[in-house]
Amino acid sequence: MTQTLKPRKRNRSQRQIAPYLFILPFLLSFLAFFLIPVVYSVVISLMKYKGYGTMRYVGFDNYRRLLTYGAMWNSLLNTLQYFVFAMIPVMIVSFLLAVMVRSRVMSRYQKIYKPLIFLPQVCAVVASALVFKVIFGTNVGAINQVLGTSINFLGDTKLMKLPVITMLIWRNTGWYFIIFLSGLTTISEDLTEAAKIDGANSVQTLFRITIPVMKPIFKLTFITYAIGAFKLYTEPNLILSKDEAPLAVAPFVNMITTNINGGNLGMACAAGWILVVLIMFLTIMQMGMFKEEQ
Amino acid sequence: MKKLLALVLTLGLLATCFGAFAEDLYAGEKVTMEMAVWNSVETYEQINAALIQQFPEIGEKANIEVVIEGDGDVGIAQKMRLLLGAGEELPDMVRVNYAQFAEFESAGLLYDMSAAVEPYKDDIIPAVLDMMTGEDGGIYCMPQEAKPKVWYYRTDIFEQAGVDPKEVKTVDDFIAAGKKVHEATGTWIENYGTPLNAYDLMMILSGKDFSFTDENGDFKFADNEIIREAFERLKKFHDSGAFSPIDEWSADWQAAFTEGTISSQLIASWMKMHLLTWAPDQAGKWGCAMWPEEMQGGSDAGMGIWIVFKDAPHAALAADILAKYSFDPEFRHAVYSINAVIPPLESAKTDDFYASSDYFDASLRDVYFEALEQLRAYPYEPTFSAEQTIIRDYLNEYVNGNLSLDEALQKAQDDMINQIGNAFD
Repeated sequence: MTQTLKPRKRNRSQRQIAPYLFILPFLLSFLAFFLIPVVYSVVISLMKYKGYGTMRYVGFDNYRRLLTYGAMWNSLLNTLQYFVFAMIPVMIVSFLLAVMVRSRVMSRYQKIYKPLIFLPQVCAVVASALVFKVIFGTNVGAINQVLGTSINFLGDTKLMKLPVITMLIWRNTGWYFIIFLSGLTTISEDLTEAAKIDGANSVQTLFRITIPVMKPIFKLTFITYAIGAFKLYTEPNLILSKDEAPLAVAPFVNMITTNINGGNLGMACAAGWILVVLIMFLTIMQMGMFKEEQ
Repeated sequence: MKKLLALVLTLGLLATCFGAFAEDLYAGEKVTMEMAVWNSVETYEQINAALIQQFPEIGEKANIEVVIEGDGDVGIAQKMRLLLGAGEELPDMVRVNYAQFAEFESAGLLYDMSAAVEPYKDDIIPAVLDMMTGEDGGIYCMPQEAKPKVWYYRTDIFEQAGVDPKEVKTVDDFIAAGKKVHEATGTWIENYGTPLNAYDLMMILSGKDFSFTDENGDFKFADNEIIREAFERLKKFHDSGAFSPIDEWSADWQAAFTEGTISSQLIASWMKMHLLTWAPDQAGKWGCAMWPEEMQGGSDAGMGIWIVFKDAPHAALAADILAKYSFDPEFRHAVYSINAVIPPLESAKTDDFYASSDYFDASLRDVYFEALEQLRAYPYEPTFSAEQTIIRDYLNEYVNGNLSLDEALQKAQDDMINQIGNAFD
């Protein structure tokens, strides 16, 4: 009796362990490459540490110093400006392009439009930024040459954000266009057909059917865009400087990189955690906004 | 007699030991060594090929791989910090600027290269040797290129405009010369577009007795007359209308040299390498002069340097190779042929090899050594990388008219206190 039970018990315990064994590789990599570094960065954010040598515990001093640092608030404002002034045109243009490509008239040329609109996403961001740097050059730049002007887009602090925002719009439109296009495919044709039978014209269908149904997609795009926008780094730094963009136009991530470059890893980690909190706050705010409307 | 015999034997033993040490460096299996640089590997690879040609034992012992470890001196220093922090293998030879030297030297991380430099020591220009020497008297870096301040100018254009750089002695003379050359030829003798670089300021400050900190490492400079004057001077240049409004390292800047719309540059000696690349068809038209008398002295970051970390896999061999690389008079001819860098050696002062150049007139060598006599570096603190980011930003805020001088300097000082604390902490 006991002999027949033992293998059964073993089988049961093996069955119980098996799922954990399957997810063990993920758990180990999650621990090694995410959880431990996250905890370690919290620890470093409470230290004064160059990256080598000894660490010195400073408590929340790094956070206090950052929160009382005018340049940090300035860089946060810059990031918000890049975010807002690029997001509005990106969302409008990419959504309208998606609607147009989905329309009956244009749908037959989808194979041409889709890759063309998506192309900027495929281009390497560093290469694109360097090209934009040339396009907006004062003397050699294509824009100034076409206009016959010498506008200092890359040196005048009042204009310096323009090339960056232009590039963000150019680069992001294709990505969100694809997301909106895939969202549009989920709208049942029955709905639009019914609206047409009821006498709705294209504009009415767009505002009364398409946009309300697309709200979950809008929510996704706004949240992912906001997260990406707060991590903005490459475009402003490459277009506006040889190394790091000047204070007047620097994005928030420069708070992290300048501290890394300056050998102050504690402060860099603290800035990173402030960024995490900001993104979380913005995400919760956006989710709340969409929830209310629903 | 016995004493003499003992002495001879002891000396013989010592000589054997030193001989064995020297031989050991190049004995044994071939090793792969890493040379960390920034931007581009091509020039270094050409120089390394010439090095192996002249010193075959290096080629037999080591395969030197040139690797890019950053996009500039700050980037490469950061990469080294990360490698040190992670306990990973360090490159054998690392190219940084003198601005980063204090941080690694004061932390006791660098290999003492005194033994390797010893055969060349008497030939090294004293100001350079002084910079190579650490707090304890050991030698912890070697010059990739000493970078005194020099004025490169187009001889043909200055002649056409009737401007002699030797007669330009003051800041006002320089502005007047800028206007005169622009009116006569349509070219600019400098560019002071924003954002200005930190080195624009540091080149001025390096010639003065100035530091951002007091002797205890506390930041205290907002009321300092030297930095106030430097800020005002750069704004005066920017606002004068005598200089091009384009900023350095922009696409416009390189194009301006290529097209010949910039006809001179108040800069440091390193600029010649860019001139060779950006404006090759202007060969024979460039000359070299001292900065206007009122602004002479100092350097751009002292020197480009080579450092070897104590924990580098082949530190002793790296030091020996770098000593040959930096100071061997014959090999330096080959280096000069590749990148036009004149070695900071006493023997080079009278070496006619450096007096000849297809690109520059005969003034290059003599002006370089005259400027080298006045080589001084800013007394870099271990936290200088962070300091220069802050001061550059407020310099540009002031030059662009967004802040007054008092506001800019006070805010810069406050930010350094806030972000760095104490420079020696």
